[in-house]
Amino acid sequence: MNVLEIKNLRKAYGKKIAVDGVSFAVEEGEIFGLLGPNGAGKTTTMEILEGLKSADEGKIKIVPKSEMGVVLQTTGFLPELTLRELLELMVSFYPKSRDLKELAEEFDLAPLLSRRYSELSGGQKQRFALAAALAHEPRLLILDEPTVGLDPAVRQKFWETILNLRKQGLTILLTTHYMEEAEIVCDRVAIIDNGKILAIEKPIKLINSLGIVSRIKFMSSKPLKLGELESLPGILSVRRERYTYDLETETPEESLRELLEWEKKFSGKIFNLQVQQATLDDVFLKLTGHNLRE
Amino acid sequence: MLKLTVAFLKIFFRNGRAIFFAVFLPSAIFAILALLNLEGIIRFGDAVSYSDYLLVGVIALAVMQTGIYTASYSLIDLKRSQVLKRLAVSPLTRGQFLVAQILSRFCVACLQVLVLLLLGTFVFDVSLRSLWAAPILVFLGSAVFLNFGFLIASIARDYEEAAPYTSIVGLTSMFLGDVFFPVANLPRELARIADFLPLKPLSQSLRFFLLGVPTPDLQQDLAVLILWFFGMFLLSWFIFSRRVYR
Repeated sequence: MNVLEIKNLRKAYGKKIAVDGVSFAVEEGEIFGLLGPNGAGKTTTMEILEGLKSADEGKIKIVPKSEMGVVLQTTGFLPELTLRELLELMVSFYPKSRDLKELAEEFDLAPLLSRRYSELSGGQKQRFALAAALAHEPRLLILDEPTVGLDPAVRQKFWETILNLRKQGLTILLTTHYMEEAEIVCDRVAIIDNGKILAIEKPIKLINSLGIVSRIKFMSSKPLKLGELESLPGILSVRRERYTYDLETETPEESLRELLEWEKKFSGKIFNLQVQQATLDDVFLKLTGHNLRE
Repeated sequence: MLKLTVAFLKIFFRNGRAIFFAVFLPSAIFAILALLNLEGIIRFGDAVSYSDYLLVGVIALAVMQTGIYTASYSLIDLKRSQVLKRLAVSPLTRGQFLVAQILSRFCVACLQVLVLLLLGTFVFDVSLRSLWAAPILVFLGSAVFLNFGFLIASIARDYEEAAPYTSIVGLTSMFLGDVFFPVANLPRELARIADFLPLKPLSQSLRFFLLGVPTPDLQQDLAVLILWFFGMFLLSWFIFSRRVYR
């Protein structure tokens, strides 16, 4: 069952078309990621779904606002109020409410409940924004670039929490331009660029389907013949840069096994062995012809 | 909605600067000017002493300032800190938001008026005739100016942009509002304009009800106030919902 379905969504600001015929559906219980660079139309799409903007064209089927929880890019809460006051205020807008004490404990916020929002650190604010978005037991959680500006440890903790929420059956729609995070967290991703959806797929399928190569890199104690490496199964090309050899392959696991077999007969040693898997970043580059962070 | 009203009030009372500007400053202006006693310089007529006149003028002024200045600046804060956006993604409607704002500002205005009235009656011997109409007039007045504030906050992106607008509304009203001196002393054309701006009808009708000062046309004053009330509410609602909170 779909919690959210949009068809042919369009939105223009004057002459600039921000969202150009976007369609996708989010199924109950999945984490769906909308990926793209700044200005791709992610935020506009999200704001239309959140009810902040109206679309020029298109059909939207989405749960009502009362069943939607939202974490905004910059989390806005009245800074002069304490966390307890804020939670009580926010749930008063909704028909349902969780036990707030329990909620606070779940998010490690219990000792901070009588602190004012303005006194929190970045990570604490983020935890609070998530807790506040969940206080009214939403069916759909919307996260708009939720980890921008947070340090890596906080980010990791945040995604762990998100994965836990999915286990509890929550449906999650998120945008991010951190591809590594999307790859780990999302069940499915939609790649968006210039207001258009280019692909919707499971991250791993997306990476595999496009025939994007992985790289095996290593250094060698003795010079190697490039031809010898090229003849190994699955290797597409070999390059040498000073002492580093750079092999391209579509089947990194197989090629690696073959390479290690070959090394046994090799009189020298290879070291600094690295495998670089194709990532969603590469998918993005392939689909759009430009880098995600450009 | 009631919770939001209380939240806005809490924010106000936790902000020392806001209390200073809304409560302390008007009282200080009143006290200083009342002590200066300008009776000899400006003509007031016989019906009223200067401190009587001034007390009601400063009440109207305070109601106006809370409306325009604190409302527009605090709304700009809410806009910039994304609080409005966060509220807009909840089921809270913009109508509820605006009503909560108006109710909380009305409470603040009541506090301002109360402090001024206490100061006036106990320290400066102002004798009040009746109080029953005061809350109604204060409500109308604060709602009118609050909506000016909303309008300014909807148009301006930050304090710098808001400042000229608040000054235009604030200074014009103050100058033509029967606050410190009767507009009747000014050239006829200006005095005529003042009749149709919101502050003079407010201070004039407040004087009528609080002090028993006769007014040339009470019905016109009330009609002007009520027209401003509805006009500004609709206008700020329209602009606010188009530009700020959808």
